[in-house]
Amino acid sequence: MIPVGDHGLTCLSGTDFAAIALLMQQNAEVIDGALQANLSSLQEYSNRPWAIATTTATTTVAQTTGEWPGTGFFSAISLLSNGYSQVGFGIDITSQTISPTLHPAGWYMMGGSATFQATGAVTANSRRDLAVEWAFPEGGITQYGEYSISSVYESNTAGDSASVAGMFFADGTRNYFYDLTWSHRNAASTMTANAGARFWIVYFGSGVTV
Amino acid sequence: MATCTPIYQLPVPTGDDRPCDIDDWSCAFAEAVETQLDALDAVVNRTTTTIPMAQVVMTEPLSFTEQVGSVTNFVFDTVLADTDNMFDAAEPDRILVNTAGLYSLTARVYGDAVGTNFASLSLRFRLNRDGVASTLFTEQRGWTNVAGGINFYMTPSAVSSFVDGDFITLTYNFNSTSGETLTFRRVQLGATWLGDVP
Repeated sequence: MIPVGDHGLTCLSGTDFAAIALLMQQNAEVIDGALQANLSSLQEYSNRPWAIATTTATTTVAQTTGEWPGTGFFSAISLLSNGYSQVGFGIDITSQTISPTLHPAGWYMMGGSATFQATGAVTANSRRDLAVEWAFPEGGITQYGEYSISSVYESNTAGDSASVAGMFFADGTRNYFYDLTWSHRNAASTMTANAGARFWIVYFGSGVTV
Repeated sequence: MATCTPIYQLPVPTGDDRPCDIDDWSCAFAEAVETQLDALDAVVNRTTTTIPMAQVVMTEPLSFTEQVGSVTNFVFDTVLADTDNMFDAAEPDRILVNTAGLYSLTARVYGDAVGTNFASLSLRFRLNRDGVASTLFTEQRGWTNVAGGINFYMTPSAVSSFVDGDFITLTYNFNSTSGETLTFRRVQLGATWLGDVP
């Protein structure tokens, strides 16, 4: 038998050309294994884990005077997922503890969108922030690893909207939290985040190098 | 004389072929299969082992006073990820496309401004193809009479198809009523390959 390439295929030489049955068996097994390995990789690639949470209830948020983090506002959700069904999108950043076994190392894309309006008067040109936050516990406190924020200054209108997206990196050694939060500086009244807000995450694979 | 399968041209013997020539046919067959397995490996390894992506950051604050600005490229000094030779330090204002396909573009732009008479801040994803620049997406914010200055956070995102040789820039254009001072604190630009474009 003469080796061909690096997948393990072989062919006959002038001295063993009668071993056709053995050749076909060996090559068939090599081809079977190579095709299955590639099929599995392609299936994993085309079915990357993702989750989308949609709020099903409105949430009232009081004014915050500091910078982010804001307030989680997903009190009731409809969750779609193809691999993150164990992830809970709660109303508090501490309720989303994720072990490394659920968050493999690599890059993730997360984003969100929301609409909102003041429950009463609008403080003209006051700021609203929609933020995606990526944090982990260390030394007994929450450390914020990365964030994406979209800020809007509302000028006395009947509501506004914001969307935010960003790439986040998990090193595979930490328990991560992630949350979509809302904060505002509308001193004249509280604000309502409307039902239908979205929070989504998709994983880009473990082989992405940094 | 062996014939071949119609799609991948795998040689197979016919009834006219001599049994003693089976070694020639078997080697031609194995080599043809090896070629197809190599081609499949190239696709799978490109998509699952390393997805083309780049994340670059401008970490040094950029401060300026402007009344009527012009469209200007951000310049990046730090690479967070680059899996397809998409960033060249000799041309630090762009992300290069070396693998054609559909890409997701994301950016984080954080900063602050003093004064009260702001007009607008526009951020643009721009494509340069064969020397011709075009705008893919614009995100604009306007502020009026915000006492005490502002902190701004913008995260534009877009999806677009690119071909080998294209490059992507993130630009800013600031206008104010009477020449206010704006500072960019941190700017991050990213491009992530999503798939082939048929």
